[in-house]
Amino acid sequence: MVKIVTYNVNGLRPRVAQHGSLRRLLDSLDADIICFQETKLSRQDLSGDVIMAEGYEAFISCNRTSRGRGVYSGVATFCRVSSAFASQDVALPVAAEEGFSGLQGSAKDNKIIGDFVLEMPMEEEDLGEITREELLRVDSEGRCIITDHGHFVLFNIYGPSIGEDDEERVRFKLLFYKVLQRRWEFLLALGKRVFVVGDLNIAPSSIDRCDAPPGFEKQMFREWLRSMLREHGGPFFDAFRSKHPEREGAYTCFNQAVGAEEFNYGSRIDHILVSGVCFHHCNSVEDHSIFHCHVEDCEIMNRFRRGDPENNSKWKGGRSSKLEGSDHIPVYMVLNGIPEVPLHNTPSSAARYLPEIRGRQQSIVSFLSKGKTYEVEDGPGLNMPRDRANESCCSDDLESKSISKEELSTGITEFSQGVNIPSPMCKRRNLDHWLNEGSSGNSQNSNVTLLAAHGMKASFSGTKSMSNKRNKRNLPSQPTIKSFFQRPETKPGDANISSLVSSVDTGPAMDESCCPKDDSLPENIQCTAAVDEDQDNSNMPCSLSTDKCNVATLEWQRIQQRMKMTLPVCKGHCEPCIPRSVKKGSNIGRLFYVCARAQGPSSNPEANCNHFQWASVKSKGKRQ
Amino acid sequence: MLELRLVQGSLLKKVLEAIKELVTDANFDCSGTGFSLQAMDSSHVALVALLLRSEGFEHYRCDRNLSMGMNLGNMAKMLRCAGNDDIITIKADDGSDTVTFMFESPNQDKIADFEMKLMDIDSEHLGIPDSEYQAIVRMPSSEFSRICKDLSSIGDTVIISVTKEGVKFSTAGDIGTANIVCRQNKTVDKPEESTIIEMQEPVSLTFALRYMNSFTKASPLSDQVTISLSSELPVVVEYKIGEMGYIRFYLAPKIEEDEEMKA
Repeated sequence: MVKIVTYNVNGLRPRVAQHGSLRRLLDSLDADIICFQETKLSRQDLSGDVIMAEGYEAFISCNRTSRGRGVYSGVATFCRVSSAFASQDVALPVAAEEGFSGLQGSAKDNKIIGDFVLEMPMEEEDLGEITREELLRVDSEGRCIITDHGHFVLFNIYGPSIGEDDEERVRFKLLFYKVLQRRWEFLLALGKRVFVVGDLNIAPSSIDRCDAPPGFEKQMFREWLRSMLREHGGPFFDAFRSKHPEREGAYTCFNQAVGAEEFNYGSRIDHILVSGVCFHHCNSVEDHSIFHCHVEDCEIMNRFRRGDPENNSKWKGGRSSKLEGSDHIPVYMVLNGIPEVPLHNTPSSAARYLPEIRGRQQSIVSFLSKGKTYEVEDGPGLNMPRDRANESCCSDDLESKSISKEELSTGITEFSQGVNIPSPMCKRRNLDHWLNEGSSGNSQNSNVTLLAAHGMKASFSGTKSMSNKRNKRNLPSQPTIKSFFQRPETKPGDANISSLVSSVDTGPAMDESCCPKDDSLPENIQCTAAVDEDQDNSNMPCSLSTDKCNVATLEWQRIQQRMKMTLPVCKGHCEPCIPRSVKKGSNIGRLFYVCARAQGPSSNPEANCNHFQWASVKSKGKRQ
Repeated sequence: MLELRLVQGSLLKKVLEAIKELVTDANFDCSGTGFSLQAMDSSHVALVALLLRSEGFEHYRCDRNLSMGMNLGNMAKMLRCAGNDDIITIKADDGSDTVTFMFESPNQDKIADFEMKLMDIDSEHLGIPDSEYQAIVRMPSSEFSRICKDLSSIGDTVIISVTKEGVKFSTAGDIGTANIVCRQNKTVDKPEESTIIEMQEPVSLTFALRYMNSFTKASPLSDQVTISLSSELPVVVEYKIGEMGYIRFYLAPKIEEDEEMKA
């Protein structure tokens, strides 16, 4: 069985940080060949921790142009191997090549897969004459790595994403795919099996895009991609669609800017295309092919989707949270019945032999275990993070001890004071308060101690809880200055929700207010009784136990309420809008308000209602 | 008829640089007591209050209360045309739809008039109550500004915790965590470099660094910043403007997402 995964990681470094290490990231995908796109690595700052992982061989292509200052696009293919040398694994390629044009292999030892040669300058329909320089430019953005696995040739592709009206980039994208097509056809003519995986930035059909507009399929690139597929006379099977021809709402990419995850407002642009004959010895029959005979399954790995699918936190105009993870979801394909390949070694174009990796990884370890080159290179990548974790453990641990001691004592006194108050509610709140204090003030440290307890073998669950906690800490919501306080007095209709929210929001504030000094107790009860009409809000702030403070608090509640009410509401949900300002054009800098909800299919009333209104400011001159 | 002559014109320039990022349009209110402004940021999360008392002006004439709506970006553009030593005079006629800024060079050899269109802005004045705070921190404004800037390269929020020992600013982000502790320090030679903590009760609150960072744009106005914290109240970040007034920023603390989810 061979499992291939494609994943647009949207920056390999952040994904490595998210999972704790490259090894964990790769292991979590559990595949023999893992193809990453948008690694956003530049050649200059490659380092072992994002390229080298024990048990994997990497093949990478970085952007070589000045676009995005190098930190742009980039693809990487990781192959799970039992040994880097003398292996029969299909996952370990026999040859690898950066780029697709065959022009990049200037070094003599770089084997060009299939001896592909383009006559330069070449002619292409619709594109006119193409010079060597232009093609080289198209091939230098780190968008393709080809690995020849003996039985098949695998293309890891990051297709250009372009604005429809950017003529230069449209030509770029067209050239990219036309030359790729030539390469595929060349290999297929040699009888090779060709697999194309990656983020092509093309959704082939209307079914692959939420709310596809009319004429969606007419676009040039979508037509081109469909023409590559078997149903339209091309050589490839779109593995996912061929396995699941009817499945709707299967998307792999979600626009970050509109919170598209929340309502599954996505598109399917990450593909696995396969072409070629099967391994059976009866090629005469029509329905024999690598797809029909060997592709067992192809699925979107939805568990890698950002955000919590169970308890989807609201997007709120992107203000409340940054979702952790890539804006894409990985896709996998499982092949069975693929025979082993003859004994072979890691090709010389592997990342382990890059001077950037090799040169920098000279550490003491390499002197201790001479002869075992692969461990040498893997070593630092693995060891360094551990060391760092240990260091921080030590220092943080000290701090955590002192802090927790202090907090413990304050917590206890507060708690014991709480016990004096004869209201069970107050007691509970104090307990909550104590817990809150502990977890919010100290969560970092407790995590570290957790890690320390696990020692070197910090288990996956350990890191997971860390990232969760960290998530929470990153995600406190910003109440508008009003919701912080009071339930609204006016407009009972649309104020209901906010009153619910605000009463709970007040939670932490109440907690602290519930531990007054003993002598002020009766007074507090009086004042809260006077203040609250009918709610069980028996925790009006009174810790400073002065009337003045109460007045100020109430006054602030009123102010914050007013502030919230003056925020425009959207027509779809009557919820407060979020402000945006015009970024370009004649109205630059002008403020407007839009619906705060995430974008979704137009059929879903819960999704963004497209409300728009200018902030109400008029020039006085115009009025007259 | 309104005529306000401010010898230290640079103060007004600094005031505009301090608030124009947070607030796009606002009403300036002139009365017999002074020149003031109260405005919310566009997401109605933070509040700015500015006061320049009439005594601080060399000449202050305000025949009747007047509210002038201005686009702060445009006003800042005009004030940037004034030299740092220039005397600035704000002039407006009753019922006029423009305001005039007059810049005089110190030796009176150059006089510039800039007339700006006023805007109609719906806004309502909120009476901000006086209150007592659990903790008040006074510290060098440059220090506070530096801390907010540094922490925002790590995380989105800052937890400000005040204890007897000092004030702690902490954050956490994808790349790690940061903690900065400033201890009470009254013994410096220059009072503007001191850090003074008045604390009734320990307090710990979380704020969005985005807002804190835009508050610190007021640092050029004053060597010291005063941060007043209470668990039930918005934080107040105050910069004194010489002897003549202040600029105060109010921001409600952030609350943990969990609390909201329970709702």
